[in-house]
Amino acid sequence: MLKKQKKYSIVDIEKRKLIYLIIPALLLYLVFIVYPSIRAFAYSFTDWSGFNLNPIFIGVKNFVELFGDPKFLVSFKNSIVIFIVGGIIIFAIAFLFSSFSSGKAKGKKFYRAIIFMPFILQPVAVTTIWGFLTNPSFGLINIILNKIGLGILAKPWMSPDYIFGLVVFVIIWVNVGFYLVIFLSAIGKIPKHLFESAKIEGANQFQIFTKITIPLIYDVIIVAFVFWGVVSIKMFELVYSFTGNLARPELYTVPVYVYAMGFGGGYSKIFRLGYASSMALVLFLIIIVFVVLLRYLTNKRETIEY
Amino acid sequence: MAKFIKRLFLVVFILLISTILATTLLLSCKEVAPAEEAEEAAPAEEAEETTEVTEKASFEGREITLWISWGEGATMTTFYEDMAEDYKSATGATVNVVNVPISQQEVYRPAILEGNVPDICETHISWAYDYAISEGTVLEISDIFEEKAWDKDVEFESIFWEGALDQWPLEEGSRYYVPSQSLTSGIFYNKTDFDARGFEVPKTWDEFIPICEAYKADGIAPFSQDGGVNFYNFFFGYWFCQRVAGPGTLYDASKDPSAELWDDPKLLEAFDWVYRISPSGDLDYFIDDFSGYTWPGGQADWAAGKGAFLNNSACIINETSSIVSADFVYGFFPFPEVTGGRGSINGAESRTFGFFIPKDSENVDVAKDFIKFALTDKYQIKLMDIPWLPAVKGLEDKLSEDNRFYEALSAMIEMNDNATEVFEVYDKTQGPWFDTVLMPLQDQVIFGKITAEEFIEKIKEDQVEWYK
Repeated sequence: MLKKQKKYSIVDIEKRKLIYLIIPALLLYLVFIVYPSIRAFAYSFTDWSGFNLNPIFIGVKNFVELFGDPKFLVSFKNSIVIFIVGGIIIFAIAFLFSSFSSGKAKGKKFYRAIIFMPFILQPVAVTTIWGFLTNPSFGLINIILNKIGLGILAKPWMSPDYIFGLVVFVIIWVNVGFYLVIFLSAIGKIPKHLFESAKIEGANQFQIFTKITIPLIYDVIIVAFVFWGVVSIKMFELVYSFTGNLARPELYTVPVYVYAMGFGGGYSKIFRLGYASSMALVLFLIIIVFVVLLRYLTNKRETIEY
Repeated sequence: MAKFIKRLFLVVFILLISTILATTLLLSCKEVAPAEEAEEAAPAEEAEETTEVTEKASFEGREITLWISWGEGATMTTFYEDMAEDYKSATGATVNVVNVPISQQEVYRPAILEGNVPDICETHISWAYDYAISEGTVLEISDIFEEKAWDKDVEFESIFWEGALDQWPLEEGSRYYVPSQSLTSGIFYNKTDFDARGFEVPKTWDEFIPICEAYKADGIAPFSQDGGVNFYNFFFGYWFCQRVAGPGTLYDASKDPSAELWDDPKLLEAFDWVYRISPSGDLDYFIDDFSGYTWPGGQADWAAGKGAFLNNSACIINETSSIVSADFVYGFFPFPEVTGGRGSINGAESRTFGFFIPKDSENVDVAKDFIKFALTDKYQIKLMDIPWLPAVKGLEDKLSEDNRFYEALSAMIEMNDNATEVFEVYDKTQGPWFDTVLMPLQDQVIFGKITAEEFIEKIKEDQVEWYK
């Protein structure tokens, strides 16, 4: 009797091909992301400088130390401030400009390009520019403030009293353009007739924005918000550049502190990869909790179709 | 669809497990490597013992890698590239110069783990100790000091200036590091302007204060300063500690878990001097709003004449030489002593750069020979043009008056010649304690936010906590 041959449809064959196609990327992901993450998890329970292959298991000592470490707490506070304060201001400005730019305002493309430009600059270049702009002796900002009679506002912006505020400001300046572009493209997808109908029925700009625009781009807002949460908590390059090779601990964010502790980078000469791994693990857990929470909130909402 | 997902999961799971197993296996091979390495290393050591390094030995066809702590295009990079070419002509060996600036340790660590180390590292001595020697990754090279120098018929050890050679404690008489150049810190100034005002180089702060006051009266800040760089700010705290409390006092206080050594009244006095020159102090000697200066704004303002003096390391000459005016002549004098202080003006700082050979180097014989070659007079004299101070003694008279930095260099050499005691920068306190405990607090004193008394009180608390 002939054995019954299994039949594969074209769709099945295509799906099987898919498996082979994802294997290279998957391998890279496993080797460079999954495996190091597992090792980092293990190292977070060790005392290890990274100069040998013999980490010493110390249980949860790193975690106990972490939550009593004033520098970690400052770094954690800085990361949270950047996330919350930076986020509120970035989203408020991006909303404001997106409602302005999506209308028929003159020169809107020009303004859009200007606002987006800082986002494409290298973080080190951004820091250098702001270092010059805020220099107490020849910085443009203080010179302008003095010229227009607002000399009382001219400050040593890079001093410990003001530098964190300046860093948050620069982060906003850099990022606002990116979120503006995201919101503009989402608003662009909303059918024009919805706005026209609202106008005919007498809705003002504010009502249109709150009752039509925001509900219809809600999903994009959530995605943007999740993205900002991850970006802000992981923020490294820009803050690192402002610390001047790690010379300003009051500016550290969690990732910068992880680097300072684990890699002896810049002028730091600390090599505690085990301790740094424990911090990275805490950072990872924070991001996971944040993403899961937002996914939960997003999923609760009904899908809007138009 | 369900079948497809099942299969996909199966494939992913198998891949995940096999990758983890494969990687673990690979790393395990590495982990048991010490014994194998020891076996493999044995022939190299034997070779090292049997191959006596002689002057101008031929290493035709051999190749070594030299990591230097300077960036591409830097004067020091050119210096080492030229040296490598000369060495090839002399011995036939190729020296591959690799730029690994500032954070050499970040690259060194994976290189150690991978077993792919350079044959020689050129770096700052304190960095070498912190990340390489203290971790047991460096080859002991005491024997090189007993050999003959490359260009002289004398023992290699005898060619060094003591201040360059003996900066770090030896472990049971063993040496791991060969100094190649020396650096110091102190007060830098524009000699043209200084001399034109008729000032004499001050030896004490009693002599220095009237000079600073004269500059202040002319609207020039006595000191320009990059306040954003905490370890630059600490040049003041450190030097006052050396002059008032004496060398080693700060170091001892930093190592005391009970922090009681901070009760030494001389340490309080030292930090009181820092407070006095801060914006809140009676002297107020810094350029306005210096706490807001980021590097290199402060030194650029000094070069432009907005500040009369710069208390910094000799690197400052190299970093500012392209922006000073044509008539700017670099002057240098040691940090003045404080009347009644335990330290004298004859206490000099020597911060050395030099070479070490990683344990896993496969070309130890060539590496050692190259190090001796680098310490020949030709290159040591050339260093002074960059300008650095040589690690080799007796070259003072080789400093040419045509050297653009003659005045500053001869003052530094004179300081070294007169040195009755030599100490490492920051009294050797750099490290985790320095970064974590000292730096944030000393910044507050120099910015005039806290007094010396508050500083001592706070550092005692923080230090006790830190040692816990």
